[in-house]
Amino acid sequence: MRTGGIYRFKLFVTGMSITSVRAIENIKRICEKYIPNNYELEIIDIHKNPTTLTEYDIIACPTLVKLSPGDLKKMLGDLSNEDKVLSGLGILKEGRERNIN
Amino acid sequence: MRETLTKEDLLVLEIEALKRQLEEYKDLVSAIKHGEVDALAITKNGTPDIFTLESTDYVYRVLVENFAEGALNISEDGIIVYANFAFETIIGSSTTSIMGVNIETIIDPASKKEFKRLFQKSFSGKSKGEIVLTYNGKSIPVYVSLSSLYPRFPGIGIIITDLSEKKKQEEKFSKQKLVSDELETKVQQRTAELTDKNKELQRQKDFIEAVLNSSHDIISVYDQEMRYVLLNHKVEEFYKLDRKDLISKKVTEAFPHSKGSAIEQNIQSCLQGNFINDEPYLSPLINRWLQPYYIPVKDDNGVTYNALMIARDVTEMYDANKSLERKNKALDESKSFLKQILDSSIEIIAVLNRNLEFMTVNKKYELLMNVRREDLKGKHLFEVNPQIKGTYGHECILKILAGESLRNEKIQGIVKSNMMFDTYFIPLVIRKKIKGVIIMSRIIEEPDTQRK
Repeated sequence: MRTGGIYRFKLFVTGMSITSVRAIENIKRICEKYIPNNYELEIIDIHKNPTTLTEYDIIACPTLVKLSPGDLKKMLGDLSNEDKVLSGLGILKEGRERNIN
Repeated sequence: MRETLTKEDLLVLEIEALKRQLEEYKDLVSAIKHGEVDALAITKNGTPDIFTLESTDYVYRVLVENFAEGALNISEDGIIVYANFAFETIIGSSTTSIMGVNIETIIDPASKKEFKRLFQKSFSGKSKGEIVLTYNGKSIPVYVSLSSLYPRFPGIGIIITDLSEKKKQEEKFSKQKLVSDELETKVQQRTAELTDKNKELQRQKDFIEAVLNSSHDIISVYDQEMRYVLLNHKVEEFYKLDRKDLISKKVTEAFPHSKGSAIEQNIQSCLQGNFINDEPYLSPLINRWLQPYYIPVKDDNGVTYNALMIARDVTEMYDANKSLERKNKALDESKSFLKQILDSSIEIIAVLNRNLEFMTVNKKYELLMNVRREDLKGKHLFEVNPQIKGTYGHECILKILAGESLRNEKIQGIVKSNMMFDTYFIPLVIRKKIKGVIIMSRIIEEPDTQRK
């Protein structure tokens, strides 16, 4: 599924909520582990930037939006299920391929 | 591309898109079910509205409850509906007693107008400023930051920072500054006074220096360590030295030859309070005779703190004295020589001044008249020989003193009346003036001779 290039994410959070904090921690850990130096992560507090919600049709927080590569993809929750996150974002296949090579 | 797709292909793509969308909604429902969602965003008329779930409120509440600033929520009527622990600490109340109270009641009368302005302004956004709270008779200066909580809450949130310590520090600083300013003023006054005094001292110093420099004597002042404190121009003139090079130097350092000399000893003695007028000495540096005076300079308690030395150049006077001494010696020798001539003469010789007083006589005279030369000196002729008055001899003396010239005369002795004298009256001329008369007599008839 991957078409190549840098991974670009936007993570929509609600200030200091526990789940949002966990989501930030989890996505950072996953990115550093599987795609280090190959990603851009922007964290958006919806209280400070509410207008961005409509742009990406966000209806709940925290929500991770993968902008590229490939199709736009959204994931909800604290992102604690690593396999689900990798699979959902198409990182698992890339990581495995890289590990094999 | 799309044109080449069959109807079946399009249906497959649509099904895949629907599957993805369904997956997303399933994820959303699952996340909500498992409590993995903090907030829901609902868009009304294109404007997003955020509904925070309980978990977020908890974190904010803990934060607000525990941070050091005071936090209040007040209704649009000014009723306090929430106060955090820090606010209780700031005003010294309990939450229960402050909740439900109108904030107006704890605003200091002097701050009511300002608070009203801030309160009104906050409805349209944010406002901040300094006010004073009053609670249980205690005034508390605070910094307030007001934010509108609309539309979710019909009221205002206020963050309150206690400025009591800051104000105390400012007050303390202000007092310190006041003291500092007073001190500064005093320092300036004192400085001005000292400047005036310094000017006066400088004037006095200039005057003293002018006096010292106008002196023909060498003047120098030494401190207790025998260092030069003051010197006049004469020193520079005599010693060909710059005064600046001598100031603060010890006399023995400036003039090594003075070590152990009378000069060093005299300065030391003077610094112990003694006035010294020493003998003139020949300065080897300038080859001049100097007459030194050492004068102790004492304070009001009579303690000597400086030694003033005045050295007068007496070279000319000293040379003149020496010359006079030499002349006197020569004169003495001359007198002795003259006396010898007088005494070796066979004539009887007496010398009188214009007042007819004896200046001297010779040995022959002493023997003949049985008198001593020293006894006659200065005595009047008539006092010694009253019988001579009015005689021919007297007349001859007066003639000589009057400038007449006389040949040698034969005169009968008056004192020795039995004798005849062949007498010469010679004027005593000094610097072309007749100062007296020299009487030289030779015995031409003696009693024994007459008898024979």
